[in-house]
Amino acid sequence: MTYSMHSLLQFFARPVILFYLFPWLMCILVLGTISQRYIGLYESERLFFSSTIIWAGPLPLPGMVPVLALLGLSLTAKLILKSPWNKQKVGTIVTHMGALLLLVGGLLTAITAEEGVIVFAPQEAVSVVSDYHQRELAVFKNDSLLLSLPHDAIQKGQPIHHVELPFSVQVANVCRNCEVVLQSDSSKTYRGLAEKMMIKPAPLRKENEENLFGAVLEISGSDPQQDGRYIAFEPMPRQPSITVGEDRYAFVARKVQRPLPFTVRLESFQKFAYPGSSMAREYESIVSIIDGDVTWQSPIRMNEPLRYKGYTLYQSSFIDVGGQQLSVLAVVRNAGRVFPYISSIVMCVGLLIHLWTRRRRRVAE
Amino acid sequence: MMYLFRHPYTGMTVVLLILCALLFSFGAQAATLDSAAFKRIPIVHDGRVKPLDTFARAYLYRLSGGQSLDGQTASEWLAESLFRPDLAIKQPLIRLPNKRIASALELEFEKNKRYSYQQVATAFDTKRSEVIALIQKGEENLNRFEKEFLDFYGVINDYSQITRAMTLVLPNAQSLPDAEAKRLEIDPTLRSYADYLTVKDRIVIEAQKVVKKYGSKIESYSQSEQHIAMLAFYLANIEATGKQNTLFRVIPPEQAGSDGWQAPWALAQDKSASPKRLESLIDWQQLATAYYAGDAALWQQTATAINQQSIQADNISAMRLHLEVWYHQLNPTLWIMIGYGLAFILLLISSIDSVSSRQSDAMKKAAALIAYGAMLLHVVMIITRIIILERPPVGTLYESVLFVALIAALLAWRLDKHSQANEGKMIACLLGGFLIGISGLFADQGDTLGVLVAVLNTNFWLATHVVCITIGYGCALVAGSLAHLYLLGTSDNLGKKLQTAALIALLFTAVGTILGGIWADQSWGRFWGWDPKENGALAIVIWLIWLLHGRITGHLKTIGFAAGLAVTNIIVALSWFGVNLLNVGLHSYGFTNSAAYGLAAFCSIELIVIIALSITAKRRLQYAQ
Repeated sequence: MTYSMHSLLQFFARPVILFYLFPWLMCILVLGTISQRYIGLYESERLFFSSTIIWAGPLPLPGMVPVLALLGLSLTAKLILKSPWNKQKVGTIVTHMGALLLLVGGLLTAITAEEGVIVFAPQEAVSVVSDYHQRELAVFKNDSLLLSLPHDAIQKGQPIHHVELPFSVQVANVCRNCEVVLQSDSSKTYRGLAEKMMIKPAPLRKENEENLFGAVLEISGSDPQQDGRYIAFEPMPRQPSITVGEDRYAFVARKVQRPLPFTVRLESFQKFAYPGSSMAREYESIVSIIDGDVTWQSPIRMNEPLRYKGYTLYQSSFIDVGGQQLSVLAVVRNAGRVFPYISSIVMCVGLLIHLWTRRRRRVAE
Repeated sequence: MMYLFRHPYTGMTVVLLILCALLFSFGAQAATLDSAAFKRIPIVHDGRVKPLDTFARAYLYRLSGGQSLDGQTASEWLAESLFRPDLAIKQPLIRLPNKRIASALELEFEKNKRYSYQQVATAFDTKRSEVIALIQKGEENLNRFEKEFLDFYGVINDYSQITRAMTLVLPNAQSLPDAEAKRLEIDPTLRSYADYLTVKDRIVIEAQKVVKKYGSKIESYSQSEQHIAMLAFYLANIEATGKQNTLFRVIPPEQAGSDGWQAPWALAQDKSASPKRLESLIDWQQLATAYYAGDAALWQQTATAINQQSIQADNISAMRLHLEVWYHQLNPTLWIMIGYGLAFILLLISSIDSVSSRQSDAMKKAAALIAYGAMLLHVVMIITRIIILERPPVGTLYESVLFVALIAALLAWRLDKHSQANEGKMIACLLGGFLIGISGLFADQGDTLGVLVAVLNTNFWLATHVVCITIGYGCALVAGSLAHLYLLGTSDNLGKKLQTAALIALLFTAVGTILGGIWADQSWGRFWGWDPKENGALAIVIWLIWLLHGRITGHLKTIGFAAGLAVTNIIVALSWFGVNLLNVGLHSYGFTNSAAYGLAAFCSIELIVIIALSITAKRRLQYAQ
């Protein structure tokens, strides 16, 4: 290790860093928590807890990410340089290692975790997972996916190019949350839904799941019967499609869908209520996993998830739609899943050792 | 809250008139019918089987703010509401929740004024359209006042169901003269609506014949025709009171374990009910008869019979029903609070200089005895709750307060083990008494023995994460209180104890927080979601870590460390209760209302006290140097 690297590590290993870092961490915690009441969990997470910079007006302040990174760096430096393995220090060293493990796990989770949801009725089989939050504009050619544009990458006025698209597409308007208004513009040609209605940007809902993503697309160069403006709008069951020759091109505004390496079919869903009330005591789905030639059944209950091929399926909730109950499963894939378990055991052991050695030291005095 | 989505009962006024018009040929009931067996009759309500006593207390509390009414116990009041609704609806009972609701109903608001059901129901009747509008608005769109208003309406509606629950078995004044009864082949001794169940169609047909012949001019009817018409009219009115009357589910199901508990009216109107089940209505009718006659022996015998049949029908534990009645009768929180309070006062007085050492010793001994009694009762209370609810004792916010109080009291008491000092004992009594005292703020639904939402319905995680984190809260509060004492300067030995206390608190809160994360991972698929309650727990952990590191680096000297540790009390209070006020996220199951002002007051006062104590402690240190 070079001298400058060593002295740099020495700097980061000093406990004074933590002394000034933690109060700021508390501030972020408090501000972020209070903000949830007003802007909802998703936005507060985006602005505070997953932030790189927090803007206090014109002033940039370090967000959660640099704070945690600094914390991790400090812990690592301390463990390398200032952790002599003697009887007195064993407890604290082990605790600090546990804390570092937790941070590493957190990093892995932040980078690799995929969370999504499956909503289905009995006898329905699904092999994709819908993301909770990420929306996309998906472009299909004959039911196979050509393009997937994440909603936050789409801008008003931008063209959509693909070598297999035989016509021009331009984004005339896009909104993360749209509201529907009556079509009042007669200067342009509108097709499909856009003949009667138009979407325009609306303020974001507190619950991000309630935001309705939409885009207005200007199609030109296909044929005079199909050129014009179309709306691709999340809640609409029928989304714009253009037919050129024998090929059908569809534009779908939806939550991002990720394929699963297996198929899940809901065999049955049951809700157990407390006697004489509608309050749910327990919910349970019986699903079949179909993976190639192999099919097997498994229950998924609240607090009892199903794990398979790196995916974990949880009974999240259910929806009552017109008398039928749809089961809602949360599907998570996370490489950092096991870290909190290990780190909590390590930290607990470390703290216990520390308390024990302190006690013995005091008794000896 | 399903009742909120039905239309408000439209014939409330008519029903009241009917109830008043019920002429009873029996005299007034005896005031002292033994309620022991009656109390234990099981009823299904709010998702679980509970004794009538709990049901009665919960509603009496929600309506009148107390657990007894003008000398009547809750069960006696319930019995009167069931069997003499004509009297019950006129009794001053209902305390209006606040001024705003009172003015919305155009009723005068006085702090302790109690209105009768009749008055309040009439007031609501005039506001029928407003109520309907609120119900149609949808629960998410209501503001706080509107929610309170609808809640209040809901309670009044529930009470109206209670007063009408037994109308089908109450004796009526109308009957058929013998001749007519013989002609229609009806038993002339039939008295209640339930008696007429099987034959009422015949009467209705006869009455319709009469009306067809003579129209609705009663003067043109013959005597017997008048009787029939009146009886039919009477039966129809009683039937109207039974509409949507499903609250009082005391009739057990056909098969044990099924979800078939029904209210008497629901049973009577259930076309698929077996004759065997309909027989249980006879028992309740007998109970009503006993009530009117003031026949204590019959009352006792019938109540016991109903009790036994219900217990057998659904495999209920009679022991748990007994236990629950006993638990409420004992009212443990009151005695525990008194015990801790008394012990604290005695300890306080004993530490005054002007008290002689003999007196001081005597007081300390007495305080210890009383405190042990309080702690024992406290443990018994929690164990009783575990037995009744069959789950770990920390499922609701109210329960967490009871549990943390116990942990804090036990832990603080033990602090004095190796010294002659009193600090630990005083902290134990202060924390224990204070927390039990404020627990009532979280019991606004009347019945504190509630069932849990599905995600909490897991004994393993309740027993590990929730117990661990509440122990952590308890330890943190003890550490914080110790820090207050240190700043007060009562003893010098506290310095080392503070760090140990902080470390133990850190151990439990950190492990508890992580266990919470693991539970979330098992349940919802993510270890950490930046939920307010999660953030609150993390805040306590971060704070304690920061304090301990500040001590190590020397940035925090003893007074700074003590002041910071004292502030932990505020952070625990905000994390424990404050986050529920945000009403956000997965953790909003601990609903609190007026506790908001209490919390703000506590935090402000604490902050001022800590600052003041720190300044005086610093001065003391300077003088000593």
